[in-house]
Amino acid sequence: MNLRLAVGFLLVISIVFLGVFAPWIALYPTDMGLFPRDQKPSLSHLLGTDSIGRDIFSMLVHGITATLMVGAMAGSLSTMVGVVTGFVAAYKGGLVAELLRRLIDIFLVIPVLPLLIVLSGTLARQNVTYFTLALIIAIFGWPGAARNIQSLVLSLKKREFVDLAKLSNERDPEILFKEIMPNMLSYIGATFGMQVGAAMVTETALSLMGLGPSNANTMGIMLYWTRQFAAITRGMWWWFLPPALVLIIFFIGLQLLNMGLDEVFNPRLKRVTGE
Amino acid sequence: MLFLIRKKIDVNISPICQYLVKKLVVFCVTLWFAVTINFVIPRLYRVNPIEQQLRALEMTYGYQAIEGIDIKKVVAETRARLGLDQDMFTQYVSYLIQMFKFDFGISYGAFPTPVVELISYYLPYSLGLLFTTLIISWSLGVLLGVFIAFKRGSKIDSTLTSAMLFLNRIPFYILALILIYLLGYVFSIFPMSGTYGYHVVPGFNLTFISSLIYHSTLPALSILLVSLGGWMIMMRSTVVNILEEDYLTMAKAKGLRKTTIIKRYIFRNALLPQVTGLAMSLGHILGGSLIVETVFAYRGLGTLLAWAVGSGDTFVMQATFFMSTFAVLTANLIVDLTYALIDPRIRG
Amino acid sequence: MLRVEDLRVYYDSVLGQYKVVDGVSLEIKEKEIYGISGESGCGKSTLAEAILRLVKPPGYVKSGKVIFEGVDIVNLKEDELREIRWKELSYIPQGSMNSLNPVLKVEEQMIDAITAHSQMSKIEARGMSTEALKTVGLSTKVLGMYPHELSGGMKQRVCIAMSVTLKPLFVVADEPVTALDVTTQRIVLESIAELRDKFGVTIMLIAHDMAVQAEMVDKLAIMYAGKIMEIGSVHEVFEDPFHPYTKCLIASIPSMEKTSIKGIPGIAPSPLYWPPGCRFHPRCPQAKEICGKNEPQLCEIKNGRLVACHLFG
Repeated sequence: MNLRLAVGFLLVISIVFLGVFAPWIALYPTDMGLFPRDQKPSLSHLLGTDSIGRDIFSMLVHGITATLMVGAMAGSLSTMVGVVTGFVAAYKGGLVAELLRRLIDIFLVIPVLPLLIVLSGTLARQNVTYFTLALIIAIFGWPGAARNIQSLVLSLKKREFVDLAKLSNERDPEILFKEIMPNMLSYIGATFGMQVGAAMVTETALSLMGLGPSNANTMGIMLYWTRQFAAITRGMWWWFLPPALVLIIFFIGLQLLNMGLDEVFNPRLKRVTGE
Repeated sequence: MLFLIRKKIDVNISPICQYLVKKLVVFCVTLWFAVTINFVIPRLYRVNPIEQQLRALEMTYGYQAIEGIDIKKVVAETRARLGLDQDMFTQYVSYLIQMFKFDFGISYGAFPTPVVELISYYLPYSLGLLFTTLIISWSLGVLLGVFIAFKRGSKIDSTLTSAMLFLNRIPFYILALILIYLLGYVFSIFPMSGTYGYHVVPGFNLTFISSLIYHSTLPALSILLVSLGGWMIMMRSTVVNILEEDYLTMAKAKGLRKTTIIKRYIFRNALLPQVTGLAMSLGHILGGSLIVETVFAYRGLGTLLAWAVGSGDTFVMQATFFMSTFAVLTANLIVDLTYALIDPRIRG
Repeated sequence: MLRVEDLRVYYDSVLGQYKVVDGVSLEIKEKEIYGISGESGCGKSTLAEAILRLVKPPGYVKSGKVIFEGVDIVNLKEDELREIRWKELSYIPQGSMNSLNPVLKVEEQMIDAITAHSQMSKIEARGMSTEALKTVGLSTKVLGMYPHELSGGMKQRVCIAMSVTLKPLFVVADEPVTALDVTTQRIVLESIAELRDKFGVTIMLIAHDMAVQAEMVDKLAIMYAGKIMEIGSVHEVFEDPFHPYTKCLIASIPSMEKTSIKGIPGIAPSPLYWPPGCRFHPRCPQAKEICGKNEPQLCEIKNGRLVACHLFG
């Protein structure tokens, strides 16, 4: 197991761990006004308290859960849709596939974030749940996954074993499962990772602007409150740095994981000295 | 649809014309698609948010006159203009025509200012920030990429490349928060928000421009430091691939000077995918820059959008989306045209 | 004109050391067309690269000398090397599909080589390029075209023209006709032959196609597994081959008289693990016991006739 894979996996899994076991790790409930406000980190409050009187460490840990949940939901949705559409777009001919290709092209050019903002901005705040948020992120996120899968299938399609399979009269679904899929699994995994990461970035951005679920608690919403209370200008680093750093660590870990998996699953010629 | 149009054009026109026309068609179709989404979204709800706004307007101001403007008349006109009481198709057509004329209606949150006015107040700063940062980031990335490609395998290469790879993963706005804290609060080098000084008046004078640059540095840095890595790594891998190419061996065999080889053989070939990469990432970078603007309360479309969301101003929201898309698509078109100039293979 | 002394080109990797060229010595006289032949993987292309100092990392010249006009190229400084490149020592590449810069016009690529080595103006350089194109049978129209507008044969001919614009003394042609169809091969080979006949250029011709060698060269060296197996004049080698490998190579050329073609049994060894003793002994039909133990040296049997085989002392 190479270094990148190990470190990446470690980073990602520790954050996921925090998220999954949040209810047990968080020391305090996250209701408002329970504690004295704006407290710096201390022994009783590991990360201090915020301007609404909540323990930041508990907020953070629950925030991780929420953000991860939205990311995972959106990521799975967009990957699933992306795999199917990407395959159709790459493999089939005909009007539907052509339209799909055009659609993917269009979505990849348009600035999606403003569109998302408009969409969630017009939704009444009360209607936005974690799932709704994940859904709309996925609606605009699947073209990214589709494009990945599309280029992969295109390159696989050109390779000889597919022609051989066609010659031996395999039908399309057979070809899909027996010949192409096994080569794709690692890429689908990588795409999923990327989609989850991208979904988390988008969710945090939307929540930062105040478009997240109203009584929810993602890391993005934590950052939203820091802005509402001008935490940065007041130097309350213990409030805004933890969520920011957790996100950074997670994304870097994801990147390392991807790179490590790539090295493991795609055997290339061993590195020659001097490159 | 699209390929039918393409087929008709294939006859007897030079390849570069074909290329340009194709790109123009893509531009129009994509813009049309964005506009259509803009049209559809408010109408998906049971009660059209625009209709809601208009009713709210009537309720709030209906029995007074603001600066001599008859609210009921304006609302009725807007209703008529949007054709909210007509069928979908007529609405759609008139909507398309309005978009074509850049007629976005009246702002609800800043009534009775026309939306176009708001947009033109905020747009220049967004464009200025975005494109300046983009040009600097892209150029620097390209130059660094070439430099680091020649040093591949060395310590500098691995450290710099890893650093850039990680920086690239940080969302713009997170870096913005950190920069505000470090450089604004802790070290107080740069202002933590705003577009120009409090008492500075916009104009073509030195005070304004220097104040603008001073306030724009942190927002620009947030975007620059993140996107720089992407360009650098892409250029590096392109150059590394080119160094393996046969025509590079030929250039060396010909005994050309190193600068000549770098300029004419490496650079000119490596730029092509870089330009394409620039076009592809414009949408994403613009989106990110909008969020950065809200973090800095920078006078740009991002702040306008955030305000519009806060006050539920659908017209402004839609107009902002439209203008962002329009800007990105136009920039894409320009990049495509540039590509046609530098790649002789496109010319046929 | 050119003398190679015990040249070794190695590649280091995590798997081991690839001894691609492992002790090659030869001598090329003025105005000779000298051929080097052998199977793929025997190291002949690397030999050409080493002579021109174009070996790409991770390959490197481990030891040996390449003495060109009295100067050892291997240890020459970059600037001095650049001086003699193209003006005196030129190169016709193998994969001409990719040897031309796709974003430059043909004339730009031809002119930049000329202006890099002389004080000529662009117009004079252009004139020389036109001349060179004529010698390979291409019209001046080609100058204004881009590489992607040319066919494979035309591209190869452009490369040949480029390599002789400065009337060099020595040209290394690395598999110049391998990727071409037979008709284009003819034209290209004629152009190359004319280089020597009309302009007195010394040529080192690398080709695995023995038929091409038979037509073109004066002297022929047979290479196998990084070493030279046999050297002789083309007539001698073809009419009376000494080394068993040479015999096998010639036997595998298809011709009208033969009713069957014999391939060479076994597979070519890897540069990681050359067989001990004589490198050909695992596949040699005439192998003796000593062949697996002692490596035969290249010795001169008759005047100008060298073989590395235990059958010949």
